[in-house]
This record gives sequence, structure tokens and C-alpha cells, in this order.
Amino acid sequence: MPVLLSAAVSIAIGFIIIDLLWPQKSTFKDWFGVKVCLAVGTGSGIVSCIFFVCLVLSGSVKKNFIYSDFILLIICAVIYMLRKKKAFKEFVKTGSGIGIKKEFNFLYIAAIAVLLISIASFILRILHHPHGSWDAWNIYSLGARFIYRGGADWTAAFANPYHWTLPDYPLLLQGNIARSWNYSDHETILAPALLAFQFTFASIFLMITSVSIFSSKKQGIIAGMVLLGMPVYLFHASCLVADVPLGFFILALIVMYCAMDKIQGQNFGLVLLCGITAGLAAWTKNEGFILVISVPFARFVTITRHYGLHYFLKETGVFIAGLSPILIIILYFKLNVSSPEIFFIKPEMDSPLTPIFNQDIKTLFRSLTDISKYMLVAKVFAVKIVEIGKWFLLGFPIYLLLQGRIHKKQLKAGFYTSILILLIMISGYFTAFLAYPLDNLGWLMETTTLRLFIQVLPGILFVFFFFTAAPEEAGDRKIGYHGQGPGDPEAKL
Amino acid sequence: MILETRKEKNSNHSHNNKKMIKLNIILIVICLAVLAATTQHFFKEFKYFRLIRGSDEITRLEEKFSRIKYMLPPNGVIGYYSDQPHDSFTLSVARYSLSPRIIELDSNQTIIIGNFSQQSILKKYAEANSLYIVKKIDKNIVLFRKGID
Repeated sequence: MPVLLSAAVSIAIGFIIIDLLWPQKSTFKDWFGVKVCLAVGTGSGIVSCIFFVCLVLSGSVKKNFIYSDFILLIICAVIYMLRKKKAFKEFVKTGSGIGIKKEFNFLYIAAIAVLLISIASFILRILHHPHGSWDAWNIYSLGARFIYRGGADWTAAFANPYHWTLPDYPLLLQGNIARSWNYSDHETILAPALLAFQFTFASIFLMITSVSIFSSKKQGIIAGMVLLGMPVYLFHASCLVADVPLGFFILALIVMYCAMDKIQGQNFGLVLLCGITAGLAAWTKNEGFILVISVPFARFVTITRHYGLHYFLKETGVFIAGLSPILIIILYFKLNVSSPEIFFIKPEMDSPLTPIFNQDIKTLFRSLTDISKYMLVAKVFAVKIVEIGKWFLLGFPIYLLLQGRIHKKQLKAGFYTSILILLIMISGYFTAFLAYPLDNLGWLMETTTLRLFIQVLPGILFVFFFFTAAPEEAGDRKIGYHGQGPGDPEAKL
Repeated sequence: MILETRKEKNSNHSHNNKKMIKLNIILIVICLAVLAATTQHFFKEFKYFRLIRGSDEITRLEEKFSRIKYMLPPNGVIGYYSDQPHDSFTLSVARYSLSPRIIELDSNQTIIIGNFSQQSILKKYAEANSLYIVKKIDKNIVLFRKGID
């Protein structure tokens, strides 16, 4: 029960912050489903940052850390009441209005069946592998145990004087697990399992709710079902590793950039939220830094031409404002608590060293110009894509061919930003493998590539279902404009 | 004129019907495919569940290591030795179970956890490093201490 309370507090904090930063014009119930899904991840990220700050300030885990959560929740709630008093009163008066239409057909029934089967599979996996996969217990739960059990010596594992673990992994998951244990006053495997459950099904519902808004309800349900229909995704989610949470933040960021096109007017609150989300992605896993770097680049390409450099600089400033508090926490962790993982490779390298895997410049140049490496990385990428997509890889082009694509007018900056972010991320992974200096590249790729694709999978599916015309709207025209879309002022949310 | 309007209506109606049929076929195919994939995954997990029945290897090893927890200092470095070249699993579970103690592949520590596949190696190792057995966790895993018993 206390573990559930810790999750509820984090979601409440997340929701209030998101709703406060959501463009003023929208009401409480606008984008409600999207906001709740975003709150699950953002809330978890924010409370883990607060937990880390408390940990650094007090030196060890203390029971009174829980008060910091409640103080933040009360502060957020008071600000929320003051700022959204009118909207909230209206909401209470008129009822939520977040009614679910009683519209049952076989698609809805199938979706519910798929969801229930997936939840059952997830629970079964947790029951027979309660500690998750190797990385889950060897990195995330181990880190959480050091934090929770370690007292004043909690940094010992991360300072890593004996080089036996991966100490510089950011602490979003570890911090959250230790925080939940602090609520329940004992270690329970329910904490990492619940966290994984939250991120997995928040991703699924974020996919459903967002695609429902940008395209159509049926399309949203299909998108969610397809994500669940890829067992590799659900398997990795129940392995309790950080790839699905990172995938959540990538999807959340993409959804918010697309939402900017849909919501008219200036959306700097959303940009601030994007900054926070990108920061939380980097606080989840080191790969999140590629996301942080990719956003300004993608926005520069997509918005400068239409809105000018001035607007881009202003937006980037706001993005950095959202990003920087979390970046400061990450930098503090990396510089003062952990020792870099790259340390493992160091003794095998000659000097002078580059910051990339601590290898000398000649070796790096050799790696980047080695055609056989390109072939190997491309081959493993292709194999893993087939492994994830399976027959869906055939289904996607057929679906696009039958449905047609949405009108060009609907493809605005947010959509192109999403594509660029995903391309930069995949290119980043590709380049990292090319630059990897040791001989065991084949083994490294075999063990990591699939998980890297799991990170970008929800984002890729979102972009696909955004781009493809919805079933309700697809007419006999193969390619054409079907219905209202993003940026359309008359579009009903 | 009326006939033409009727024809137009009929053509629109059949066009809508065709569209609906096409849409429903697409949706049925997607539903069946996703249902098949998720059901297959569910049965795979169920098979594992029936095989393992709630006692996975980590939980079993953790339970074993919990028997020596109270004999160890609350933190600091504990040595580890294994006669098997690739024994990262037991070592990692030892680290996981006994954290925040740091378990290190080092025979020079005062307290050492040993994992032996052969009893003869256990005796030789103990003699060579002046160790005595504090507790035998199971037939393979032993807790040693430096010195004479």
C-alpha cells in the first residue's frame, strides 16, 4: 500500500506541474488522457530528482524525505488552485465531462482483450522473474539497495573503487525504487515492478490518447494495440530495465512537439515541459543525452525557416530553462558521486585520449572509416529490426498503402521535429557502435541493439500512425487529405 | 431524373459499403494478428511460470546468502573466490544480496566467500590462504575467515 501511495503522490505532482505548464487556453479536461499519461513519467522523474537532492543534502536516506514529497505536492496544489481556480470550479460544477462514449464494436473489445492479456503476461513475468533481467537487478535494484541500505556510505557503489559495476548510470530508476522502499519502510520487489508497470502502460495509453487526438480514436487504439502486439516490447518492459522508461520520455517529447502545432498560439509552457522531459530522459539512461542534443538541432532545422532565428533562440532558451535543473543534478551525480563507466576501457588504450571511449584519435578515425564495421552494424540493425517488427514490417506498408497518408498541410514542424529526433537518435546509436574501440563489438551489439530499438519503438509507431490516414477517414483516394488535423483551428480535441 | 438520382444514391451507398467492408477487413486482420501475438506471448510466460513456480535462481541464492548476512560487518569489502573461470552469476548475486558490502574478487581480504565445484579445491584453497570455514552455506558456497580456527 505505501508503494502505491508513493506512486500516487508522484503522479499527482506530475499532473499538477503538467497542467500548470500546459497552454493557458486549454481547460482541465482538454488533453486530459495525454496529461495523465505524461504525469506518470514526469512525476516519477521529478520525485526521483527531489529524492536525490535530499539524499545529497542529508547524506543518507531518512524517513522524513517523504515530507519533501508532500510539501512539494501541497505547494503545487496551492499554486494550481490559485491559477486554475476558475477552471477547477467549472470542472467541479459541470462534472468532469471526460466521458467515454459507449461505442462498442469488435475493435474496442479486441483492444480490451489485448490489454488484459498483456497485463497478465506482465504479471506472470514478474512472478517468475521477480528481480527482472540481469541488468535490472545488477544495476538498478543493486543501486537502489546501496542507496537504501548504505546509510552514509551509499556512494560507495557509485564511486566504484573496485571497478565492478556500471556506476555512472543515472539514478531515475534507482532513486525511485529506493524512494518507494522509504515509503514502505522495507525492501519490496513490488517497487521496481510497479515502476515498470507505470512506464509501460503509460506509454501504451500515451500512444492511444495522443494518436486519438492527432488522428482518430480508432487509429489511436490500433497504434496502442500494435505496440502491445510486439511481444519484444512487453518482454523488455517486464524485465524491469530502463529502456521502456526512456522510450516513454522520447514518445512524450515527440507528442508534446506535435501538440504545439495543434494548440494555437505561443506554447512556451510546453517547451519548458519538453526541456524537463529531455532532462528526465538523460536522468534515466545515458542514451537520453542524445535526445537532449537532438532537440535543439531538430528544432533549428524545422522552425527557423518559418518562424525565424529569433523565435528559435527564444524557444531554445525556454527549453534550456526546463532542462537545466535536471542537468545540474545529473552533472553533480556524474562529477561528485559516480566514476565514469568508460574507466573500464582506459587501461587498454594509448594516449592521447579523446573523450569518446577514451581512445586515441587515430583509433577513432580508423573505427569511423572502417567499412566492415559499417556493414556489421547495419547488418545487426537490420536483423534486430526484423526481430522486433516480425510480420508487422510487412503490415506497415500495406496499411499505409490502403489508408493513404494525411494531407501535407497537417505535417507541420512538430511532425518533422519528431522524425529528425528519431533519426538523430538512431544515427547516434549507429555512430556509437562505429566508434566502439574493442574487439567485442559483435557481442556488444548482440546484447544491446534490441534494447536501443525498444527505446525508439513507441516514437516510431507514433510517427507512423500520425502520418497514416485514420481508418474512419480513409476514402478511395490513396493519397490525400482526410479530415481535420493538427493546426486546424476547427479541429475538435 | 428521379432514376438518375436513385442510381447516384445507390452508387454512393455501394461505395460506402465497399469502404466499410475494406475498413472492417483491415481492422479484423490487425485485431487477429495482435491477439495472436499477445496470446502466444502470454502462453510462453505461463509456461515459464509453471516451470519455475516462484523460485527463480536469484531468489534461491539470495535466501542462501541471507544465512550469512548477520555474520558479516555492515559494510566494507568482502573477498570472493571461485574455482570456476566464469562465475559472474553467483558473484553478482552475492553483491546484490549482501550490498552495501562490496564483494570483490580478492583472496587477500579477512572475510572471503568461496564458491567451489570440487571439495578438494576448497581444502587446498583454505590451506594455501590460511583460512578457516565459518559456515557452509550449501555444498558449494562457503564463508571463510583469515586465521586459525
